[in-house]
Amino acid sequence: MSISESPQPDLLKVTSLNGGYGKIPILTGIDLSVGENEFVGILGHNGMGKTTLLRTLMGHLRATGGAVSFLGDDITKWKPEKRAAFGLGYVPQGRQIFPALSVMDNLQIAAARNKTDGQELIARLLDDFPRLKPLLDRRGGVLSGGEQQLLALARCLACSPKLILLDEPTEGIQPSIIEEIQERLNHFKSAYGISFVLVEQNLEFIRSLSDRVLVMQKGQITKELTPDEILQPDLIEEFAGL
Amino acid sequence: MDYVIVLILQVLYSVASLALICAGLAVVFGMMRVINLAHGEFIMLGGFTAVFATQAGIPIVISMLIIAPFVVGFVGLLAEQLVVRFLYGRMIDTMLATWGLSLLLIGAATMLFGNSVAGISAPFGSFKVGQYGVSFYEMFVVAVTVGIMIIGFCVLRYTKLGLIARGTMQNPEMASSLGISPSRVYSITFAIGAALSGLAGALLAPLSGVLPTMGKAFVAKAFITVISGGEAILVGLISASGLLGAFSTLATFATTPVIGDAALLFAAIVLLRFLPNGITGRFFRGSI
Repeated sequence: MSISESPQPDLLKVTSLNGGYGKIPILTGIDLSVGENEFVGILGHNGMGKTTLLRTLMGHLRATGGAVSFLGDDITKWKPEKRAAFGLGYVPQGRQIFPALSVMDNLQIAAARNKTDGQELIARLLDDFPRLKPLLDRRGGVLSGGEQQLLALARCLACSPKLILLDEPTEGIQPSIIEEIQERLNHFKSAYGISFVLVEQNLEFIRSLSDRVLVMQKGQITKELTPDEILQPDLIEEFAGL
Repeated sequence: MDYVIVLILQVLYSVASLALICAGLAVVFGMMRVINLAHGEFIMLGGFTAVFATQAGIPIVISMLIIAPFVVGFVGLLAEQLVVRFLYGRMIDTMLATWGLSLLLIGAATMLFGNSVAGISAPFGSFKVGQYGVSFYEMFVVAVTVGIMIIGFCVLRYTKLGLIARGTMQNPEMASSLGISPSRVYSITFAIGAALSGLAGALLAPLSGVLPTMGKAFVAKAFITVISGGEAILVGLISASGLLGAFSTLATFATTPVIGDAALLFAAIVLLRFLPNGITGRFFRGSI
């Protein structure tokens, strides 16, 4: 039995995926699958290819081998915008808020493809993120890191994704907002049935949210752990070296 | 007193015509950081289109405001699809390719239309301010320019299309992660930029005449103005054209047109020495 096999039907299935920057290979045969309403954590050292994996899954980097299928379609060669329209969401490292757009415009632009119920969707999202409500007229660039992270999440949800790729959402965020993000993510998983792939270095954060934790080493998935196993210091020492 | 009024009207016209010849370039450079060296030739094509359409019996206002922008916008769309889209992010390559396009368009226009000035006469006549005559047409150009700026502002600020354009300009990769196709936004933007250049050429045709090589006279002036304006497309365009246009006209009035043109370039050099990121790099930050 493969380590990445999931008991649930596959939403995302990645088979021997290769990729990297130009001619420099970073990913060397990634196998991974994510089921419906499943939360998969990915743990690994800096430089092991976690961000590269998410960027390749989103289509920002070209896969040089292997295949990615999403909702049963082979999306390996699709452009990012087509993947996004198909239900793949991405909250990148550094959040990538549009700095000169207002908070409201950051949400509107994500809901722009939503022809009819965009406004309704945004109203609902603001109920989910009450902290954003007083900030709607501010420019995205002036928000704090934590506020930007909440906005990045809300913006991603405004695209109505089925699976969200999350790249280090706790990086540089104050602890109170980390808890809020954690609680919100749990809510979206249970209330909206969204699946997640989370790349993270914060052990407690990844443990509390993930159904499964995959360990990434040198461009490959080398081990699958249960969330509780990642609190065992010897295992972590061995596989993630944290 | 009359002299002062005429002077003010002249400054208004100079600022408007400068903003007009820069608008297409401001859109393309501001949105995509593409230096389109065929900008002047898009203006020239707009001029020829207006002249031929008017000579074919189409009312002059329709030839200028509708037909010329559409024809040149279509030419721009073709240029983007066939050449420019393969070169995004490669500034030097885009400059070379669009320079080539510029030479091609000059050559083609010379072959087809001949190397002589084609023209149409300016409509609307003129009015008197004291002993001075002022052309209604120049005021019409001012009005159209103001109209374009207002429409541009409303589109960028209040429409979904404008929001998508602004977001893509700030972070194309993130825009694509939200389901927006940057390449489509770029094609549309390039076509709109070309259409604006076409409109500029058409509006200036009655005043300056149309010649296959006329683009050269515009491209340098347009560039330095757009660079002086800085990051914000509209506010940068308006402030830079206002400042440089007014300065150059006043210098022209005081001396000769040649010195007026030199004064514009001189003012831009001084401005960029102190504001290397252009006017909106320092003032009006975060505006459109």
